[in-house]
Amino acid sequence: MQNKMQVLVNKRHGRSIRDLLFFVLFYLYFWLEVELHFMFYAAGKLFDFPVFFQGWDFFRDFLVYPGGLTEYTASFLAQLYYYSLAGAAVITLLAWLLSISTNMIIKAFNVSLLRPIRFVGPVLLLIMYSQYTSYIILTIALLLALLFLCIHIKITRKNKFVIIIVFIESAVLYYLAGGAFLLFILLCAVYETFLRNRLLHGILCVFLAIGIPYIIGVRIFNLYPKDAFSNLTIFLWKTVLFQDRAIINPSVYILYSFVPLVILLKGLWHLLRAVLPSPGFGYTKITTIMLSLKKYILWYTNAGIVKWSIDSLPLILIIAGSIYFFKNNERKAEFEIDYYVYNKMWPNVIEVTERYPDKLLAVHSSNLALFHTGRLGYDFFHFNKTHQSLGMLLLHTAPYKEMHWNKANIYLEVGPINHAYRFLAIALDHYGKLPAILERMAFIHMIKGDNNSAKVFLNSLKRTLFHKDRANHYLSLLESDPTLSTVEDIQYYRKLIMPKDRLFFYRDERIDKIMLELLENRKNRAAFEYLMSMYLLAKEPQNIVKNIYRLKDLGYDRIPRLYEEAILIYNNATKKETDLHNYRINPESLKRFKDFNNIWKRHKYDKKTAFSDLKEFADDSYLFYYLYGVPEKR
Amino acid sequence: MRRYYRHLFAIVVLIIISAVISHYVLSTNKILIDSFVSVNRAVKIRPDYTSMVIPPNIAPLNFVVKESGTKYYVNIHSEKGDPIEIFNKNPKIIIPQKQWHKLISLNRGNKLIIDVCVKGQDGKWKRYNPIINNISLEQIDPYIVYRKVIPTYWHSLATIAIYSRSLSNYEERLVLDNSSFSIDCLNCHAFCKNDPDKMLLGIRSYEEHGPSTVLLEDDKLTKIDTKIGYTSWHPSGRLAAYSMNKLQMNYHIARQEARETIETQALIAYYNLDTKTVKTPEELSVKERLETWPAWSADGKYLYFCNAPILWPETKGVEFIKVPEYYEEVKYNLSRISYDIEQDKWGQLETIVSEEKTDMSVSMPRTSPNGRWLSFCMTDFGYFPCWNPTSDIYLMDLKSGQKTGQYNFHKLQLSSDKSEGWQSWSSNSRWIAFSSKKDYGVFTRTYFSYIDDDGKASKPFVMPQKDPEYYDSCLETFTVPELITGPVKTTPFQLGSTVRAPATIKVDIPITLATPKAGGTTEYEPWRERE
Repeated sequence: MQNKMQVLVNKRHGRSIRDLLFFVLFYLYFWLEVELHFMFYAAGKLFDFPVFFQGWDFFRDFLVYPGGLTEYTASFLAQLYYYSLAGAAVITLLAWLLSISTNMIIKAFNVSLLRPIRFVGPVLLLIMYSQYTSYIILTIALLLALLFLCIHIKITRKNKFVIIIVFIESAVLYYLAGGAFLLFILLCAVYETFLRNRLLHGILCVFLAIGIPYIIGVRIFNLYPKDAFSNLTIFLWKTVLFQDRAIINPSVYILYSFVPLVILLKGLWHLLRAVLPSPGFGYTKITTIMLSLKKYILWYTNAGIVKWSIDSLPLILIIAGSIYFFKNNERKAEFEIDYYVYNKMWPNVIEVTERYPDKLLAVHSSNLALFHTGRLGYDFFHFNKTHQSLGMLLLHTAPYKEMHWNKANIYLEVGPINHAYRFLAIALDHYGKLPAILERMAFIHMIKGDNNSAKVFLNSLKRTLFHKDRANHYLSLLESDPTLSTVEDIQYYRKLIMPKDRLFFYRDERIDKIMLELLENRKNRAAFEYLMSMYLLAKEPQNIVKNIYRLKDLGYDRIPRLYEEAILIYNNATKKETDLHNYRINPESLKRFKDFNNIWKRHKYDKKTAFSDLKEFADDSYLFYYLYGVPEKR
Repeated sequence: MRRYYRHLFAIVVLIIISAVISHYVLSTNKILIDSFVSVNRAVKIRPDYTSMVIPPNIAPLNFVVKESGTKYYVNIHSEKGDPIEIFNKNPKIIIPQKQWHKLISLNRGNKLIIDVCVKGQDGKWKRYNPIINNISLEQIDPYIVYRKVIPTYWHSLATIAIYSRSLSNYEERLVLDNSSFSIDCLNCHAFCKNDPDKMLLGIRSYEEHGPSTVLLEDDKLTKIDTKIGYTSWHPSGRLAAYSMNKLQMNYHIARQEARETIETQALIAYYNLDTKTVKTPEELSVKERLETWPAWSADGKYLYFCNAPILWPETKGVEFIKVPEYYEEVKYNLSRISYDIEQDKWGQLETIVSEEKTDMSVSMPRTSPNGRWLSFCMTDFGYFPCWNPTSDIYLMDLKSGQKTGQYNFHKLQLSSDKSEGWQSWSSNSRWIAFSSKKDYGVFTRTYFSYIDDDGKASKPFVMPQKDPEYYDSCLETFTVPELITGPVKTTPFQLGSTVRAPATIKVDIPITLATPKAGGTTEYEPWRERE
């Protein structure tokens, strides 16, 4: 038995089992915990999230510039995030290839002691995805550079035509992976100069590093010189220029630099050893120490499963630490919300917001969810408890200027459809032809009755991998019923469009003015509830009272609780009875108001001392908000 | 030696097998339609390539038969030459280029007949009424240059690119895109008398290289340190008139086309290539008026342009922060002013189309190279027709106008209930290329129409593509089509390098837009329109 175990855990098998276990767990983590399908829907939140269309036309466009084929492959693979199961397989495959190519390079450079470095790539991927960032194009480009180096090492060992081979490899790799080729040529230069002692070849590599991008990139493919050298690298200038697209994850930089760093160090060590005359005191001392530890080292080397376990421990610790320290659950929540909003899974939106009530965009989306579940007039103050709430409501203030996608969602619901269109067009412009944007665009044009535009968006959507059915569904509807009279959603939103057109300048529009305009013209429940929420937040109960007459027209059975509380505050302050237009205040609300007042009275109307009791009693009420406002202002 | 024979034998066998297979495939593909049912209506095809006039040098008009069936047979024939027969299981009809060109070039002035038969699910063939098109005697210019961009309006990462396209095949070549210099915008391209070797190209680069204009003269490229607006070359090629506009982007709250651009200030300047100077004639830079869309007459003796009074208070250089008052009442006249190029002297100003008479607004005038026609757009208000669905193209006979003093005009039949604009004349004055939204909503496409001696336009057809379904899912608009007589020879690399390099020609602008006054410098022009 002992012998069998010994065999099982001998060096090679031990490593293989460790690798296998690592990648199985890696896959399960991505599939079940990261849940890549949330990333697929994260419109505009991911740098480097490519779009993919079926067909020759789309493919052809990638052939005409260096790095295009890498981008095409990455575009295809990124679509598989749509299914978490498949997406996890893609990332695991990339991680595994990174690991074996790193291992091979390390072996070739005779730094076998640093073999655990093969896990650095996969761990960095794990960190990146735990932070909900995806750099799949850069990862594939890097992988290609490393794989080409492996090929180079393999075929140039006993080959005389190294110069020709390097030249061909460089040209092919540059065409395939663009600027990532520079990494390959740098490593090649180190390998040829220090490991193979072929200085001439090393110098050639340096020339190729400049010449290949210039000749192929600039001269043949007409790239902007900066792009010719930086495309598909971490130094792409566009990522620096645009804040929302900047590479902010240091893991990407480490991913790109850890192999060259190790190799450079090895090269330098090699150089130093050649320069130093003979092993000096240091060597002797180290050798003596090693000899004295020989017994223990021998024991450890043959310790079988114990050694395997001890060897594996740092890896386990690093992985656990990476997940613990880098897992960004808040960002995941953002992605989850986008996914749920896109699929109209309103209770899920609220559930995520319960977990992150301080996350402003979650609160924004939860308002939408509350509206759709008929709870906005009741539970609005369950979430909206910060001074940014007013801005968050319709995303109309400066800090949220980049949230084009979310803005489009809210304006579609509230009514000014061309506002929604404008923001969606900007999203299309900024983030590309993502399926979710195309579908939304088609939907907006169908509402507007612009079937010709809608069809172009739908035909484009039809060419994506996973939205074909949705596109075909709408296309067949447009074919059979061009007015879409039977499509409830479309009819609902059409009824919200203003009957009379006018021009607006986006910097000049007061959002409450638009809402009132929408209400004057249409039975628009969303505009009404959002406007009332604005009045609540602005502590204007008089405006709530002024608009109560609209309830009947909008089909309300009763006055929503928060409006009742506003009316009671107003009545109490003015000592007048409000005309409730045949509605009445719910006894429960009356009792709650009385009880609230009693608690306050008990504290002799001292806001400070009454705070905890009132908070406990009615934290989510308008009464509490009216009295105390948001935490920052208390 | 034996090995050699073995290889030879293998090759011969392979050739024989290939020949047998090819013959089998080809012969089985051909079907004899011995009986069919006649359907007394036109076959539905997309794009609509029916009842129109086509140039004898146009690329094959590939189409999709929009009738359900299991097999499709198309026969294209005319008076002379061999007919083209296509058998397909697919409704996508791709016409062989060589045969097509042979057929249409042989049959100038004749009818081109397209017979379509469709085999239904019941196994019976249906034959529809033939499609009849006319082949014109006159060719269209062999190349066209246009800009492709997604239909939005934001300074962005999106690619904005200018392409040249051969009209006798489908080859599209990049002239320049914004990734060649930065992610900024590139604007209108203007050619002198359809000459591909004489071009002006506006660059709106704010990030690094500054607003500029690239001038192409034969093989020489120069960068001028000012951005030009809508440009028209003097036929002598010695100067170019252009507009300087201050524009404001607005949105309609409910209209189907959301966008609206309002010109808040505008004037016309001209750049002299010999003296390398810019001048702003007094008559074309009146402080209280908006002067825009310059267009030289074919003889260079007149400059046509559009103008309207400014109806809102002076802004003193501050950008508008609200929709300008009475914007819907701004209607542009079409005027002209005489010019003597030798003395550089401007003459009398005349109003040719008055908004008082038409209650419409004129924009985008273009004169035909033979000097006979003046085409222009008219809309219910405003200066920018591309976002205005009321925009139609009109035609004026200048020659008869000069004789009678009456400048009459008529709406061209090619107009639809959607926006039409950006018309460009072919060098023989027989064809116009123009932009229209008639078939693809917000996605503007390029169409062609034949103008006969009486000024009547034939039914327009969309620029053909190899894949007849290309436009159905193409998310880019095709705008500013300019017909030219040959390919643009300069490469994107050369153009990009010119944009990136420092300007070689520095000009002083005598008047700026902010507060029209002497001695100002070039200023930032916040253009927002892209179509």
